[in-house]
Amino acid sequence: MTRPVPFEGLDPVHADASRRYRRLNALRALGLLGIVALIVIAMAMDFTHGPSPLALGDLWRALVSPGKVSPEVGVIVWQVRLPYALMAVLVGACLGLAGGEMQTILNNPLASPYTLGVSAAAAFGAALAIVLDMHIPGVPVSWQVPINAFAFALASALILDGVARWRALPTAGVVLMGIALVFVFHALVSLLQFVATEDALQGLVFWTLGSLVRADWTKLAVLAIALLFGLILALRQSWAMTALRLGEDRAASFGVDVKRLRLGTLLRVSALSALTVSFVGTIGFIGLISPHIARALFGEDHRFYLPGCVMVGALVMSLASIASKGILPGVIIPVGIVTALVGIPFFLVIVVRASGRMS
Amino acid sequence: MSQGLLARGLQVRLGGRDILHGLDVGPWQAGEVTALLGPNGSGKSTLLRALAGLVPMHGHIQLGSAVVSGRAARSDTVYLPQALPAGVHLRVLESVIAAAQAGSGRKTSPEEAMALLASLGIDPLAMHFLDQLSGGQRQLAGLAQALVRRPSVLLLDEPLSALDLNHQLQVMRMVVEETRARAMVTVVVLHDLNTALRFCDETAMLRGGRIEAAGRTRDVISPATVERVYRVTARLEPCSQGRPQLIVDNALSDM
Repeated sequence: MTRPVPFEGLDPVHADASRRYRRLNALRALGLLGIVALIVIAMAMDFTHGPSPLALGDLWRALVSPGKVSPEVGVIVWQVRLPYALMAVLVGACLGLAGGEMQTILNNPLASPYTLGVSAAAAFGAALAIVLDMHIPGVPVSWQVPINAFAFALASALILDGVARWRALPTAGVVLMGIALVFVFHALVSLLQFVATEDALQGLVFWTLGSLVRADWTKLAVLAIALLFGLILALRQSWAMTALRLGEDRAASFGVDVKRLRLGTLLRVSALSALTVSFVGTIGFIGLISPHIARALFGEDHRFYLPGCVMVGALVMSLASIASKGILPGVIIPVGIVTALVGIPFFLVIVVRASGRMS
Repeated sequence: MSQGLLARGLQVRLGGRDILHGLDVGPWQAGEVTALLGPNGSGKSTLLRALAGLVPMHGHIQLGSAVVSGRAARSDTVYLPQALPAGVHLRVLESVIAAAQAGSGRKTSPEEAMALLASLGIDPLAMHFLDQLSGGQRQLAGLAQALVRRPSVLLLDEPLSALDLNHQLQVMRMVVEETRARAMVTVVVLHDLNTALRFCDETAMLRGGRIEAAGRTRDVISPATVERVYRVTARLEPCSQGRPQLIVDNALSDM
């Protein structure tokens, strides 16, 4: 049964809407593949940029026939450039996914691990382990820093969500609460810096600036596995998350267990944020910017939006990594500084847009 | 085929305050539309949310012979709040497919979703973004999101607020037609008593978290109940087409 169109000025030709919908989804899938191609190109550029020049041919030879390159080139490729370029991609992907999921479950365009204090909390947890050797009993030494970072990241995410729900805070209130958490944890990290030994202080500076120089293959493997699991689990919830965009009550009445979805997502976001912070320090704004770009490119069908956040995060971070090597010749600036410089204007634009919507 | 919905002894306490005081409502029959009326703060929306399982409550809700209270998310019931969140970047068709497949939902093809949009007359809007629609278009898109779940009970919280007269009529007409066609129990929170008189089979009037009057709409909406519930003096007079119209004369000052 088809009713006459109840609204004036609409195009009555609509028979091909199903086909257009399928074509749109195919285009989105192609778009994701296109970004993968751009990531490969950006990684190649990231690989060739650095204090000592390396050609893509060196990378190819080192990968295909390691015996044909000099030991020095082999070390630079395998121990420095390749882990660095891959770490940029993985960190960007993790932060992009964490930011995308946070923006959906908190229904807040300003949400990201960095802006809402999750990264700062993780840095504080890590700093506690480094400076005061405070950690959860029974945790192996090599995992004390990441586990501490995770515990504090999760606690801050739960506090933020709990207070926002308890006081029914609007979007602006959640952001202010997040900013308060950022200040609190930054102040606590500063306090630890003040009492830290010289060695511990050096380590702490690394956390606060955010840098990829400590990338190694173990960290890459851990981050890749976390990303893979995080993305698979997130994609299993993609319909529920898409429905959540229609409003919490509406999603609940469509059968979505909103509380469980929110808790599971916060756990994933905290784990991804904590791992990136414990491996590369606090890197800001990737988790904020990437979901907005992904939303503009892929819409909010989370089957495409979530992988979009991952891909865009990886690409933006890889580009930031290239920029961090090109700003001062011969010097690699901590990549967190670059992402902050690019991210702050973007953040302000989103604030103005969000304020417009709220008013 | 759906069956009647009834609730007994519904109590809701929120923020340390009793909102609903042991209400008995229904049975509301399948294929009929029931209006929830009452002044602001009377508990209409809370009653709707309690029926949907969205607020903690005491009491007993029954759909047909099955007791359904205590279950948070029920596939037989869909609740539509007043508005969508701002800035949703989803197309109408996508939102209907997501509504069908979320939670305990089922796989739905774009063709199936399009057929539903066509039945509501909004298929030309299928590829429009939700945040670009007018208020009336959004309500019908919301109705499509609800109907694709094939609910037995449809709960609508102030679906006409912020709609102009034309769209109020369009939306209510479709709500009634779909309720009849799909044999749903539909409960709708309204502010306009004349809309209830025109479109709703049953009416429950609330005041202070209690039912003041309930039954067939034309029996419930009377000058006496309106004065008691809303504290206004009113007359019920037939219009030129013979339909009863409520004409409000004055507000009483002891509100």
